[in-house]
Amino acid sequence: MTERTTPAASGGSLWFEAWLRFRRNRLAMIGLVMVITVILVAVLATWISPYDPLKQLIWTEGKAVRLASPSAKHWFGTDLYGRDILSRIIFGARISLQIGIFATLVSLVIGIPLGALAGYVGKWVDDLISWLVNVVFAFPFLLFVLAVVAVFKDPSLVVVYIAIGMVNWVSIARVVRAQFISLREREFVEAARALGMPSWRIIFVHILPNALAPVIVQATLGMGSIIMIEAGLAFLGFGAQPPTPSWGLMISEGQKYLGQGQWWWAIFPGLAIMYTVLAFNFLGDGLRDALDVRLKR
Amino acid sequence: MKREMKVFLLFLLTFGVLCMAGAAFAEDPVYGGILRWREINDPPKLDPAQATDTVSSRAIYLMFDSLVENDSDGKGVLPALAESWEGSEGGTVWTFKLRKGVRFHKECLGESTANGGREVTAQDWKYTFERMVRDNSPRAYFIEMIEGYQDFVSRDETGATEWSGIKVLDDYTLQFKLTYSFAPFVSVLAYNSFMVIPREDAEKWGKEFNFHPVGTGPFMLERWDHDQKVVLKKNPDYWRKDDKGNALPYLDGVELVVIPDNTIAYEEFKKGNLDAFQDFPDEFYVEAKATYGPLFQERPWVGTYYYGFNNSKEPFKGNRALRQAVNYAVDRERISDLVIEGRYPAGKGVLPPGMPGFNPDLKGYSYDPDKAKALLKEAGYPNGFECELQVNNNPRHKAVAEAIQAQLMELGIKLNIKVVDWGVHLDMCERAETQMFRMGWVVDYLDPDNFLYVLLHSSNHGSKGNYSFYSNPEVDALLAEARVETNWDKRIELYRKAEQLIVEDAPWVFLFHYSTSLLGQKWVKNMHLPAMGDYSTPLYNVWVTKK
Repeated sequence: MTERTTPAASGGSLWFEAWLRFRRNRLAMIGLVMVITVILVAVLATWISPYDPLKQLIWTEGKAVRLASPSAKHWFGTDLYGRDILSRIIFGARISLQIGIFATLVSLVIGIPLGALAGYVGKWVDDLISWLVNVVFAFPFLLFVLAVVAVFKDPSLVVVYIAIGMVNWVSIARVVRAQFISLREREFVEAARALGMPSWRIIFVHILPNALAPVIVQATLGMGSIIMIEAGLAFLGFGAQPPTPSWGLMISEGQKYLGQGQWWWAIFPGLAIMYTVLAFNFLGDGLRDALDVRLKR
Repeated sequence: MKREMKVFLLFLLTFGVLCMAGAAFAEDPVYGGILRWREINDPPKLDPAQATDTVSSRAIYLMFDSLVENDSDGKGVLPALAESWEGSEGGTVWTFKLRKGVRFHKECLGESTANGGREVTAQDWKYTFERMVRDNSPRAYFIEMIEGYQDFVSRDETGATEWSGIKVLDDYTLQFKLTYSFAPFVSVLAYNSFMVIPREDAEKWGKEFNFHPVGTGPFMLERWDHDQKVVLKKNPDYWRKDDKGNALPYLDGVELVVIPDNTIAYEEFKKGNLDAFQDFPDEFYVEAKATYGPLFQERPWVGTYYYGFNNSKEPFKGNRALRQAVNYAVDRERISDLVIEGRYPAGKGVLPPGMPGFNPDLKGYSYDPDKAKALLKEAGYPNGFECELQVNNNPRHKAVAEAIQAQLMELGIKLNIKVVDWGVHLDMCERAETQMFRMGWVVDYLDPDNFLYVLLHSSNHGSKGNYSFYSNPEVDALLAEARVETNWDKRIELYRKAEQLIVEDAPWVFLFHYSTSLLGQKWVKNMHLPAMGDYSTPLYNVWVTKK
């Protein structure tokens, strides 16, 4: 076994090897394709959606388009206001992805520095941060997010990113901390220290790139649960506000009509959430298998 | 031929059974059984002095009695604990003769009460009203015209030891002296805060009386499982008797079952686990009406549903054209028809139909986007504007808001909907912290004063009822004058004048008037939905044929 002296030199081959492993994993590839479709739908929403997602057709077309069942004109049917559900689901992909990405960014911005600090410095700093992480972990996730949203009083998407990020960072911080603890004793770090490099440079330039792989896995897996949380918040009336075509909000409005035979208002957005969450979970699992060297057979 | 005979026999048999069933329906009331009534949330207050919401009032109507009560068609007041009353000295003195033999509950939560089931006397009434002031009841101001109110409110400075305008003439005679002739005084006393309470129990429990309520009503509190149910049991000493002199109530008890979710509640009803479902949700309306036929009761409710502008802040402050423009931009009829199953009739003004003084010829607003556009231009917003509408969390209110949002969007008005919980909503409206808000008002007493004075007089800004912080000196003067006017026709004229001015000023978006609904199981007999709303449905004379 050869020891790498500088991470950058052989970093390329590490990622390439991972990609080879990833390609061999069928579920992972399915996940990747699914994620790409969701992203494409979100990006191309304006061009591919058949109707304006906010347009209430009942005012011009009357009762015929009110809660209309799926048909050639409206593939996924319409809601109480005659809005096209397919178009709303297409635009809803934007909301879900947006929340997923920004909330993850917020958790990375908080989680990486704190995790790095705890892992690198150790001692009381580690105790303090780990204590904080455990405290946040001990709370039920959704309840904590609800509490944070409630503090802001003014429910908007930005508040939702921040709220989810403020709770979700702990899992990132844990991973980063564990990586730093194992990496800080390695020779290349000691060498950097011996050369008199400042700590911030050691942390960000030398250790962090080597700790990234598990963080990527954690962040990807987290996307799925964040999208679920957003849907749950919207369902409960927090987060996205009407007429935003948020999937969770659509389920919340449509579920009342489920028992009446008008199932399409709630079921289709439910399927959309399922598809997206599965996509990120498959992708995340695939990435973990590909990047985790310990699992190598 | 044989087959036809069979059909005929079958027909006869069916007919016979139906006749028997009909006879069974007409049979006498039966005693026993529990009625399970659906509630959407736990009642916040069971102390009548503190209750201001319909869920609390439901329970209070079952456990307490007032001096007078509203008749079921909302046409006037009937005797309750007062047998008769008369006004004198130009309507400034009111003397009530009390019913004899009315007793307080003997039991509460399975324990004996402090009063021991003694008879109600005039002293109890005086105590009840004074207690409202001492405990800062939010509804004590409804009877602020009784002499000595201000003195008793500020008793720390004035040293008043009693509410001087309330006099006990003897055990069964109670007299009120008013500072001015207030025409609706007697109907105000039917409001559900003015319910008699025994001094012994009120003093024993203090603020905790809320959890140990004792009254004179047909049912007494047996158990209160918060957020699950309120269990009430029959009061064996209830004063009311039926037509044949039999004791009331027929039921052994009532359970107010708390089920926040409409879908679950309806499933429970269909399974027969609930006997009565009030304020029936829109999403199951068509199905339930078709399935249950006459068991589904619905009638207009004396109430008004509106969106208030915050008249104390930009952009609506001092911009009448802008407020009128929004009024012209909303298609009330079609929203009612397409979004809420046509259950709330479109409204033009403040007073709802069924309220004395309701003006069918009022000049209001109808849907007219061209006029709205012209007014927007006049108001200085030719391309529309953005503003926030706050709505309390309720499926029906959210559904209506989304429709109005889309209609205003047609004119470039961007309405951002903010959904908050009822308590927060009320607080923010009271402090004028919203730009625009949804609000509704249902009748407390059958007099235009209850709407126009309470909701739009400038002395009632905030928590007293004028949430839109509207003020117009001309309207104030008319409403104050109407308050003391004793000639009924003249009063109505004053109210109509005031209402027309208010409508022209457009402090609200006038939207709908309410309807009230109640669905009962077929084994629930003699349950009638009153005009004052589902929550005041009397249950003392209801019986059930299925145990």
